[in-house]
Amino acid sequence: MSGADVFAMEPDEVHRSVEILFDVEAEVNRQTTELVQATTETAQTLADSDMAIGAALAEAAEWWNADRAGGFTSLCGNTGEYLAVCAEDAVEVDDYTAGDFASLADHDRYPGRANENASARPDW
Amino acid sequence: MNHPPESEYTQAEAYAPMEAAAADAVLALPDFPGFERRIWAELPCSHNGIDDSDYTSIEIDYEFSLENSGSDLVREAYTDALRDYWTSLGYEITDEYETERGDRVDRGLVVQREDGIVLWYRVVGIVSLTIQSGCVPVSDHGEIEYIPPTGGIEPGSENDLVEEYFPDGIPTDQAAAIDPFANAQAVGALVPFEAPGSYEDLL
Amino acid sequence: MSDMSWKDLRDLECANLRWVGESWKTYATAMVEQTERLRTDVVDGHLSIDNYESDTADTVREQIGLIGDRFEDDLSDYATIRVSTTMLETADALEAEQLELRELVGLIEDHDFEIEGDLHEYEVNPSAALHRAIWDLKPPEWLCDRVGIDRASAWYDLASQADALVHIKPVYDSAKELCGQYQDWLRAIMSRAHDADDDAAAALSAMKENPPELPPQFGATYDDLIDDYKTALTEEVAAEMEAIANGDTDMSPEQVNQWWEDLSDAEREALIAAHPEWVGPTDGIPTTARDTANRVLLDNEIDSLDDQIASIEAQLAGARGYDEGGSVDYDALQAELAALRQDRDDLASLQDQITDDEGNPATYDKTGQSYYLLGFGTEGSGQAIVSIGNPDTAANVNAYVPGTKADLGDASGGLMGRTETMARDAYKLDPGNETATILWLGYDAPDSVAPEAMQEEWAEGAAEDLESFTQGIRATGGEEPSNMTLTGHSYGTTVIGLAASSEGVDADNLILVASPGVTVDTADALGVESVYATTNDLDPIGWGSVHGADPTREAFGATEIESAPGGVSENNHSTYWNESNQTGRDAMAGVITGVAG
Repeated sequence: MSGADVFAMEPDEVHRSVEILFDVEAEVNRQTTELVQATTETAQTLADSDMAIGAALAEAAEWWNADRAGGFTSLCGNTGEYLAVCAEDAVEVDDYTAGDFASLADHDRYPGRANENASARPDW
Repeated sequence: MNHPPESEYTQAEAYAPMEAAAADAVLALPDFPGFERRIWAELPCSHNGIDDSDYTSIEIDYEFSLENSGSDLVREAYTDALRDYWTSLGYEITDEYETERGDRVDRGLVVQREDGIVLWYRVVGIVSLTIQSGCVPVSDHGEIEYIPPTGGIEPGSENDLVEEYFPDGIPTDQAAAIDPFANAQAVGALVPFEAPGSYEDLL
Repeated sequence: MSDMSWKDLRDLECANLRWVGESWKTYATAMVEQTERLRTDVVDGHLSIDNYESDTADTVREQIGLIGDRFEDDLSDYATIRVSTTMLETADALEAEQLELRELVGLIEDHDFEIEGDLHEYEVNPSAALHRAIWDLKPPEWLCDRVGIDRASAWYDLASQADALVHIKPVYDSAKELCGQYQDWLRAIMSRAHDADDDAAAALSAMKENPPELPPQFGATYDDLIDDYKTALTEEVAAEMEAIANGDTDMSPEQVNQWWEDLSDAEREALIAAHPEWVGPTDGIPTTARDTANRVLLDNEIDSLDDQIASIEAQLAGARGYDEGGSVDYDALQAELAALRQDRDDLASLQDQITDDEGNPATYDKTGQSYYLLGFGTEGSGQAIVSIGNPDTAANVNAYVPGTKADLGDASGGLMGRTETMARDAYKLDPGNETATILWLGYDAPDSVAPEAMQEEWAEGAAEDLESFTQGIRATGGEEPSNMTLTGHSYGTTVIGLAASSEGVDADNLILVASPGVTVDTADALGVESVYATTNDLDPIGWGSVHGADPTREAFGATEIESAPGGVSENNHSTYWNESNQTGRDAMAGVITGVAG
C-alpha cells in the first residue's frame, strides 16, 4: 500500500486506463445485448411450445442483462469516470459525485460519453 | 414355522464339514497350483421373505489367482474332474451352467450334499471353489473355532480372510498344525484392481 | 409448469436449446477475456504503481479487482453453471425423450392407434378404422399374429355371429393390451419431459433469488459500503452451500458439481469442516468429501442421541422418586427413550460397519475396497446410503435398492450382507475393473407387506431422491461414464420403476428382482437401455403383481434372468443371493460388470 502522503501520477497512463474501462464497459454491453436478444428469441419459441423453460429463460436473460452484466458494466463506467476526474486535476479526490465527471472530465478524450448521459446517473 | 428349515449344523458346527469338503475336493484336482485366498463370509437368511437375524448362511470361498484362473486346467479340466468326483461320491448335481462372455466361457457346477452343504465350482474372472452352508442358526463368534485353510494358503496370512471371526488373532496352536499342500505353488498377495496390461493370455 | 404436448415435444428443435447453452458458455469465456484486460492492461499495466501511486490509486486498483472477481464469479455461477448447463442438460434430456417419442409415435401410427386425452393423462386407443376392421372381421395381420390366429381362415370359416363375437374379444383384448403398453410408455416419456422442463425452469428462476451484492460504486457512500461488501464476500461460499443443500437453488447435481469444482481447496475443506450437514447429503459433491462430512455427522448424531437418552433417563429417574402419576408422562418418555436407544444402536452399528479399529474408514477385505458413507437418517424406518468402493472412480456402479421392512438396523446387517455379496460377485466376475456397490436405502421403506407395500406412496417419496442420486453419481464420475446399474429387490423395484418412469434415472441397466410391479406395464416406459427381471418359481410375489404387470412376463419386454429357488418349503422371496441361486448371481454380476453373456 502507498504511504499516507505519497502521490505520484502519470496522467496519460491513467487516462489510458479510463479508456480501457470504458471500452470493456462497451464491449460487455454489446456482447451481452446480442446474447440476450438471441436468447429471448429462442425463449419465445419455447414458450410458444408451452414449455416452462421459455418464460424462465427469458426472465433469466433479462435479469442477467440488467442486474449482473449490467451491474458490472455500470461499475466499470463508474470507476472509469472516477479515474478520469482524478486524472484531470492530478490530485486526490476525496468527495466524488457523478456530476464531477460531467463537469470536470476532459470530454474531448471521451467523445462517446456525453455529458447528458453522465448527468442522468444518480449522484452518489 | 417360525424359522427357516432345520439344519444339521449350527454356524459354529458348520465350518468343520465345509472346510473338510473343500480339502476333499482339492484332492481330486491334478497338478493343483494352489489357491490364492480363503474367505469366510455370510449371507442373510430369510423367513417368509423377511431376513431372520437368528440365522445365517455361511459362504467359504477358495479363490485361484487371476493368472491361474485363466488356465484351461482350472477353467475346464477341474470342472470335469470335480463333476466326476462329486458324482462318484453320490452328490446331486443341482445346477450346471455355461455362459459365453466375450473371449472367455464362464461356467458353474453346483452340487448339494445330503447334509445340506452346497459345493459350487465357479468359473468366472476369478475361479473359486465356494462352499455354502445354507441357513444355519447363528452362533456366538466366540464359539467358532479356527480351521486352517486348505490348498496352500498360509494360515493367518493376509490371504486367509477370516479375521473378523478372530479379532484377537489366529490361534497359533491351530495355525501351526497344518499345511497339507506344502508343495503347492506359492502365490502372491492380492492387489485388488491392479489389472494386468492384457488379459489375452489370462482369460 | 410445463404444458408441453406430445406434438410440442415431437417437433421441438433441441438444437436451439443446445445453441443457447453453447452461446452462453462461449459468451462467458469472452467476458473473462474482458476482466483479464482489466487486470493485465489496467491494474498491472497503465494503472500500476509505477504510473499512479497514492491511497486513491490503491483503492481504485482494489476496486477493479473486486469488480473483476465479482463478474467472473457471476459468469461461472450464473452464465455457465445456471444458464449454459441448464440448457445443455435440458437439451440432452429432452432429446432422449424426443427420440423415444418419435419411435413410439411411429409404432402407434403403424398399429392404427391414436393418441387422445389431456396432455398430463394421455390415452392410446384403437382408431375408428381399427375398430371397424375388427368388427368387419378384417383385423390387420399384426393383430392376428399377436393373437395367434391365421387371418384368412380364422375369420371366413366362422359359422355364426356368436362365433365371431367369441373371436373378436381376444382380438380386442390384445389390441387394448398393446394400447395400454404404449399409453404407459407415452405417459412416462411425457412425465420425464415435463419433469426436465420444470426442473430447468426452476433452476433458471431460482438464480434470481438472493444473488450476492455487487461492489459499491465510487461516490459519497463508498467508504461506508465497501467494508460490508468485503465481509459478505467471506461468507458468500457458505451461504451458497447452504442454499444448495436446502434445495433453494434448484441446481441439478451436475450444476452442484461444477460449483464445487470451482471452489478452492481451502474453501472446500472449510465447508466440510464447518458445515458437514450441508456437504454430506448433497448429490453432486464428490464421494470422498461427502464421506468425510457424513462421518462427522454420524459422530455428532450419536453424541446427540447419547445426550438425549441421558436427559430422558434423568427425567425418568426423577419421576420414579416423586412424580409417578404426576406431570411427567412416564409411558411417553419410556417410548421416546426406547426409540432413541434404537436409533443410537442402529447408528452405532452403521459406524462399526464402516470404521476400522483405529477409527479410520474400514475396508471390505474381500474386495479391498473402502466403505463410503453417502447419507444416513433416522426418519421413519431410517435411511443409509453406503458404498463399497468409490463410485466416482469405479468402472461399474451398482446401487441396490431394498424393499419392504428395510430399515436402518438392517443397513449394517442383512442388507449390507447382500451388498457385500454383490460386491464380491462383481469382483470375481471382473477383477480387472472396479465395481462400486452401493446400498441405497435413501427412502423410508414400507414397514409391512400389507397395507404399506401395497401402496405406492413410499415409492413416490423416493422417486426424486433416486433420480438425483443417479444424476449425482454421473456428475461426480468424471469424463468416462461408469456402467451404472440399479438393482431393486421386491418393493425396491417399485421404487426404481416409479422413479424411472416419472422422473427418469440416469442408469444403463435395471435389474428387477422379485418385483411386485414397477407401476408401468412395459420396459420401454422405464427409459433405460437395458432392463432385466428375475423371479424364481417358488417366490410368492409371482402369484400376482400389485403395482402393474409382472416384469418377468414376456410381454413386459425385459430380459429375463433365470433364478433358481431354494427349498420348496421355504418362502423364496429373499433367496436370490443365497446358496440356491448360483446361476442368477453370476448372471446379475455379468450385467453389473458389463460382461453379460
